[in-house]
Amino acid sequence: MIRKIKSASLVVATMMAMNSYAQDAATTAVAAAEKAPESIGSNPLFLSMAVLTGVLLMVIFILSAVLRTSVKTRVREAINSRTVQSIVVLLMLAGSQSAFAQAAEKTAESIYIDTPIGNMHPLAFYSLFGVLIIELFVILWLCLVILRIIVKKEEVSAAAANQVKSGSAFSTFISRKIFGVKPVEADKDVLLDHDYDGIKELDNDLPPWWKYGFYMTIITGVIYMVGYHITGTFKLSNEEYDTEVAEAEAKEAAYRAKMAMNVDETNAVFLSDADKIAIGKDIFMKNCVACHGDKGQGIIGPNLTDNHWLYGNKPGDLYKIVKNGTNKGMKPWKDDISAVNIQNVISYIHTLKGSNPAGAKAPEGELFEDEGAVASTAASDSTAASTVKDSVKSLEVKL
Amino acid sequence: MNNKETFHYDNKIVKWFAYATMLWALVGMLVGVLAAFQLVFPDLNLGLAQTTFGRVRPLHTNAVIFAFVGNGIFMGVYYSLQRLCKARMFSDTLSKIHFWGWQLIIVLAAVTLLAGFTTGKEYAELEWPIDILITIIWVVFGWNMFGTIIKRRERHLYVAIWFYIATFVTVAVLHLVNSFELPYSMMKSYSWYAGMQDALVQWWYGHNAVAFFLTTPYLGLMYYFLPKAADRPVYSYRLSIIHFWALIFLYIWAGPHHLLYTSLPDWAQSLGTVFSFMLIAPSWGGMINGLLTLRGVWDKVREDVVLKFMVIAVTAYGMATFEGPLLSFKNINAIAHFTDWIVAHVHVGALGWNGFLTFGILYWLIPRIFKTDLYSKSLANTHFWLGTLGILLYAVPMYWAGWTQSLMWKEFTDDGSIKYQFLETVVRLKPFYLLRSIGGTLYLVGAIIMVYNLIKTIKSGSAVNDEAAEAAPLTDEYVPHHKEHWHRWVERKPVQLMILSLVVILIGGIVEFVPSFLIKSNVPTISSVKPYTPLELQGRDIYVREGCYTCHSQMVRPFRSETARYGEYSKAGEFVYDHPFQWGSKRTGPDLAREGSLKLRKSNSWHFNHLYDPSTTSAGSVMPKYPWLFENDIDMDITEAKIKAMQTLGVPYEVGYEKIANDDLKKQAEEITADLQKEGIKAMPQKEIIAVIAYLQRLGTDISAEPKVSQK
Repeated sequence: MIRKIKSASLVVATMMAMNSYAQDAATTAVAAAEKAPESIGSNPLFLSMAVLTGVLLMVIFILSAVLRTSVKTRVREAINSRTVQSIVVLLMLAGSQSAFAQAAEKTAESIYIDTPIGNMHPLAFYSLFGVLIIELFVILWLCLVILRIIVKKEEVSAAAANQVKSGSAFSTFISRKIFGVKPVEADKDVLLDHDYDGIKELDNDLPPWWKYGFYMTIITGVIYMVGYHITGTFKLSNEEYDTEVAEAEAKEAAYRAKMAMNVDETNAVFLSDADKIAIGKDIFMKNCVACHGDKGQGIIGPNLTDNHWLYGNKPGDLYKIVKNGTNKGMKPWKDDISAVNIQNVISYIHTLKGSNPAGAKAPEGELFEDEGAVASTAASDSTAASTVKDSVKSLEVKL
Repeated sequence: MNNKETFHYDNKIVKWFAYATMLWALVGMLVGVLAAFQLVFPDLNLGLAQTTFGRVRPLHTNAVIFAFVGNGIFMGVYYSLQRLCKARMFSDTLSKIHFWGWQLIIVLAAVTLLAGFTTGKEYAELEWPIDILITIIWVVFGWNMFGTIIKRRERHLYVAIWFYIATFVTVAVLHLVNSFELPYSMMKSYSWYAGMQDALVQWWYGHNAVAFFLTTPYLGLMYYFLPKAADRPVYSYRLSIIHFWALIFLYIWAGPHHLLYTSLPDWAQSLGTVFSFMLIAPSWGGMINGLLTLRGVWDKVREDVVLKFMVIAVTAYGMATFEGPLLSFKNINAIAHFTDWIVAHVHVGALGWNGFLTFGILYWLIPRIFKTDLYSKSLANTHFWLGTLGILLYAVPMYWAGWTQSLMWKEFTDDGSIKYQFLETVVRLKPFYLLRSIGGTLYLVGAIIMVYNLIKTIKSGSAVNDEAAEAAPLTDEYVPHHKEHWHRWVERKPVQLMILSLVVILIGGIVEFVPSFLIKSNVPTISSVKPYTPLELQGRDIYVREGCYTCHSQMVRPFRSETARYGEYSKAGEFVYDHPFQWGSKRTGPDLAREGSLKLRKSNSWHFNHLYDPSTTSAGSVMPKYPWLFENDIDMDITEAKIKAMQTLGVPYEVGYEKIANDDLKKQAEEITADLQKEGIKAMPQKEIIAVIAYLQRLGTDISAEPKVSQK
């Protein structure tokens, strides 16, 4: 008896541990949703997988309870302890899986996602998926064990009928209050006088879990309707769409900004954005005036306002010089000025062309015709161009 | 009792329906296997219009639902109703008319569907003359059933009969309302409803065809055959009362869950979701009552193949009715809808619940009617395992395919463009489709073994066509000898029971339909949306005829992944002239709602080549070739009737336009032909392909012609 209660409490403790895991996972998900621009919390795939994980957990909980209640006779004690031990082990495993999933989610924020699955980090996806599979196996296995016990019970039911039923308070609660389980032998007490071609009917109560489950779905239904159509708490399809698009645009912008970090001599362009040029000017004023003059008129270094260039007039040419310096004495700036800002500087320099400042230094280098290659918009990378190209291509390829 | 009457149960009609069930099971499944393989090897259409996927798929669904399951229902009802009423069927003549009428409908359905006569509305594809025939035969069935119930010798109606009655009235209502159509020729008609309203009516019908043709009658059968086979009392009478009324009341509302994120008004979508969710408990009520009835005989389940089939059937029912409500939630629906997930879901229901329950009943029934033992238990066990394996091999790859497809559709590259072209998703799914076909084949092989086994059984016995029975007739006075449950009253009153169930099932439909039809704001008018030109209308009818909707949706949902791929999401106002709507339910191919828009528009020559041989423009496509469109002439004699019918339905063609419609048709056809000529393609303007091209190029263009949405 004591052993039974002990094992029962073990199950409960494990369940509680599982619960706190689940809660942790939920909190992490919420936190992630708040922090990360990707907002994994609003990811439908993640949500459905998380909900499914929860539902399956509940099923496992219920099945374990059923198992507890089905196992009553001495004969089954042996199975019982083995069963409980295995459940504990498996649940621990599942628990560690969800902890793993949390870790994965955390990593998802820091590491950049290369090949996300349904907008989830693959690690997060596979961990959740793994948890789901393990839960399914636990359920399947529990079902098998229960079935085996039930079948065996049928076989020894005659013997069992004579035995005084004694279960722990917990198992009685589960069997009576939640499942409304009555032993087969009690059927005769609820047998109705109905007889249809030999078919008789029992007057068993509605299973409480079924009845309260039904109420729960009705309440959920009311909340759903009120939330969508009266209080407007939940977003309707078109609002959902607007949010989705806005989020995606923000993410895209962030990505593009990030991509700009990778600007180099091969893809640099002259920007025309006023704010980018202002940044460039700022850096120019701090770092370049010493040699090139405050108006780019040239002091030690050459005049930057005319059409003569020593190393070429293309954005990439200028970029390379700023980045790597020259053997005539200009230092490499790559460790001082970020890639984006190098581009901003050369963009500012480009605006000085033809400004004819007072005291301009004599031209040096070759004369270039004004073919300046000005990029029209902010597009700071090559992706814009390739996107257009891709979409043209997709038009052709699409079914 | 001493005043017992002797009478005979009519087993002959049960036997006939059992034969028909077996025959149509094999036919329906064989056609299904063909359709499944065609999605991997499109050339399996044998180059014939009649055996192309778009026509074969409706044949498969109709054959399985109305021929296989339909005959299964009648077999079970005719057997159990007589015994539950302690009376022979009301009229042997009506039974015969019912039987032969139903088989005639099936044969006509098969012929007309393959010939391309279809209304274009799923599971209601049959054209108006057959619709009328169905109505007549259904009334014969109801008449026969009620006649039997009226002259019964059993005071109270058993729960199985409640389900039969609810089935009868609801299917009648569903069929009549959804088949409201305007004939314009001997074999063709246009749906009375258009666009969003047509979609709402259609999915109210479609969903409740599942509910009241595949579910409620089968629950009735379960309530008779399961306790019979297990020899156990039904677990809970009270549960059966509550789950019956709750089920039929709630089911009827749930249709809009097939239209989540579409142009259906949000309030109707939400009703669909919440009523689907509330359906879990009533659906499970049936499963619980079935499974708990088996308490005490689980050891028998291991031995008895009939019970094994029934247990799997009830379990599959429980799984499918739990999954259904989950799929009705918007966030899950957003993943599942239009993918193979839905195909997997319905097949768990059809193969598991309907298939296995029918098999169980057949294995139980045939030896009883023929007073013999089953020919081979081991063959039946083989069938059981083949069937189970078949279901698994069908469902698992389809679930996997569904998720794969959905994830690929929704995947973006980091710079915000779509990662996969639609065609890539198609090619990716081929292995899954192949596995599914093998699963389906296994299931079919199992069914063939069953038919062999049953034929052997039949040959070893001799039919008891008229089975003697005796019972006392009902007395006029009824005095309950003790306090009884309040529900007993209605169990004594079949007519009241029928009227009550009619009222219960009408509520949901009325609440959803009336505002959708009467309140203007549900379909915001878009002034730039104009009726189709005669050529486009002809093209549209060919599109319907070829069953293009079985693979192509016309509904861009408000998801970034769809607007990026297809353009602006669809609005209800765009479909006001669509009789019938063609939103579709599955995307084996891409959505076509905006096929003619600037974003997606292809040249006329592209469509010309693509329809002639899809692999020339889209390598790896599983779309079949449509060479007959290049041979057949447009039926210009019918243009006038079509335009007239459209006018009657409220499509604003000018008065008298029907007389000159063909002039416009020819003019537009010449233009397209001239354009094709420019690209070096010689085409004749009177061919069907020109009409199809015209239609495809029109799709989704109106909204951008003059974007002016006015909401009154």
